[in-house]
Amino acid sequence: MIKKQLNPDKNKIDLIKNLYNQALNDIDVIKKERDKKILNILKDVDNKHIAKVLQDIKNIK
Amino acid sequence: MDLENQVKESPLEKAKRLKAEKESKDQTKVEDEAKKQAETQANAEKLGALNNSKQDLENQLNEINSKIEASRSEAHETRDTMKEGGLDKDEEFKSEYDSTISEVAGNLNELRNEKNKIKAELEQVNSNIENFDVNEVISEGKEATHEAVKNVEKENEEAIIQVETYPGVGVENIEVAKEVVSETNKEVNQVIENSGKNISEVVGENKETEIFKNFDKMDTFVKEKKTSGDNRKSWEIALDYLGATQEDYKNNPEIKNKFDKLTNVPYYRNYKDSDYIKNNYGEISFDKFSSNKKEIIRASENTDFINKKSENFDKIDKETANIFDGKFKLDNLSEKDIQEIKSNVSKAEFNGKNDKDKLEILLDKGIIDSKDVLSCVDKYRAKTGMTFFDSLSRFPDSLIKKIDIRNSVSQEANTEKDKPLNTGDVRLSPLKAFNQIIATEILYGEKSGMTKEKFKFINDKIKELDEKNDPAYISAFFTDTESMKRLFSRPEVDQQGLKNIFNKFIDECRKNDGALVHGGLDTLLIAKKNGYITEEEFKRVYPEKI
Repeated sequence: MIKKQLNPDKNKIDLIKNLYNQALNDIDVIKKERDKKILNILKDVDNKHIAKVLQDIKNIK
Repeated sequence: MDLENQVKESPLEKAKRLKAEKESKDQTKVEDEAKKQAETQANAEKLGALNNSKQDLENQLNEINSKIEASRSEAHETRDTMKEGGLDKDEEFKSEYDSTISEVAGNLNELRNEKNKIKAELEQVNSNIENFDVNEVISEGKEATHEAVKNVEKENEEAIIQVETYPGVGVENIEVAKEVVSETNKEVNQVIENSGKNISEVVGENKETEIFKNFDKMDTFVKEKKTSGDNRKSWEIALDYLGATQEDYKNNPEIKNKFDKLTNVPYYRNYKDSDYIKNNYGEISFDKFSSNKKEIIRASENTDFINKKSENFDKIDKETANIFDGKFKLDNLSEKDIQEIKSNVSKAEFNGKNDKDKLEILLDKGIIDSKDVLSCVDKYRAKTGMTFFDSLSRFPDSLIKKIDIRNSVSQEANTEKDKPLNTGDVRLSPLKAFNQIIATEILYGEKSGMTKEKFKFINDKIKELDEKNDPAYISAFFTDTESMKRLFSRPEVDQQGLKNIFNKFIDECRKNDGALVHGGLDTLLIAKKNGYITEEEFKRVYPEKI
């Protein structure tokens, strides 16, 4: 059976890199989630505004 | 460029656009390359500075060694001169003699302290050189995550401003946006905290590797000295390796600690879960992560390992049963051998197969009293944290023939069995007691009378664990691998209760995605061999590859 050659330092470096990359990816996901929520707030403002305008038009008629 | 514009684009416009795109791409490539080169250059400079510092410290060390040598010669000469003149015995000069001796000793100690300081700095620099790549990756990672966090904070502020200045926005919208941003901050902080912890765990392995490497260096040094005809004892050469003397060892706790730690590394390798090792190697990470990772790597490297592990546990009981074989090797030992063994017994330094054989002969011939050996067993036990029975296995088999150890064993079992469960002690006390009972049973053939009642304490503990339902305690229980095989095979043990908590242990292993508490692998192997879990279950908990 051929034994797998392991370089502990190389493994460790890869592991650390992966952990940092994972952290950066997680932050990215959190940011996207935040942007989505902020956009929803703005959409909500727009919707309310549009609803109000439509209501005003209806009242004028 | 969007499709509509590309359709309208003339060939010349297209050529210009492609040219610009190519130039921009090339420019980025050149910039990336330049950045990479600058980083490589900066790293080479840092490494160069570290190597210069190393060279400098090595020079300082050589210099201080010469000074120590000169100072030591002068100290000896001073002492001899005064002794030749009989100053040390003359009442009139005695105080002068003492103050001069303490002055030279003080000078020498000052130099030694200076030397230790330089050595510590050199060790630090060497460690920085050795871990240079790892440190660099960490530094880059920290910078990148720091940038990302700063970026999030900046964007958070912008998001709030955007909401605040949005036409038609209400106070309630601004409040919601602030909550969103606050939540984002919390989540990002959590990510940073978790990644910091994980990275510390990975880096924690450094110290472990470092201490092994230090031991190997010392070991090579001692072996080389021995090969080249150095007749001193190994520990004397090892002290020499640390640049210390026997006096330093006696008087300087720092040196003593360092020496003891280093020379105990083989113990650490074999008994890293013992309290003794944990107390003495506090700076090494015993985190789940690193040990599990290593165990998994170890197993994935060689599948034979799994079978060997299981075979080893079969051997334990066979060896115990064969203890009464009493095959003594009668041989002529030199007076030097006899004195050495006697001295080792009195200091409880006895260890190794060779010593065991020699001691067996001395015991058999009545040159050494079995009570002395038993007291050595006790000291050895206190030193290693092993149980009475386990430490006894390191000593000649004939000892058990000469002395009835049942009292010692049952005393230990009685004190251990009622101790509360403690997750920090991997070899849990009730399990120690259980093992002692089994051991005497095998040794003295007392198979009768082993009723469920005698095992009540262990069954009570199993019940307590089941009711407590705390994964930490259950995991700790199942990491005492030596007891597991015996527990699984004894009808007096509440097998259903054992199975209940074992299932909880398996669940815990699964939850952790194969990350087992230390020693969990051994338990699973034994469980697999005894049909408690199937091959498939084993693989589900314990992935072959990571």
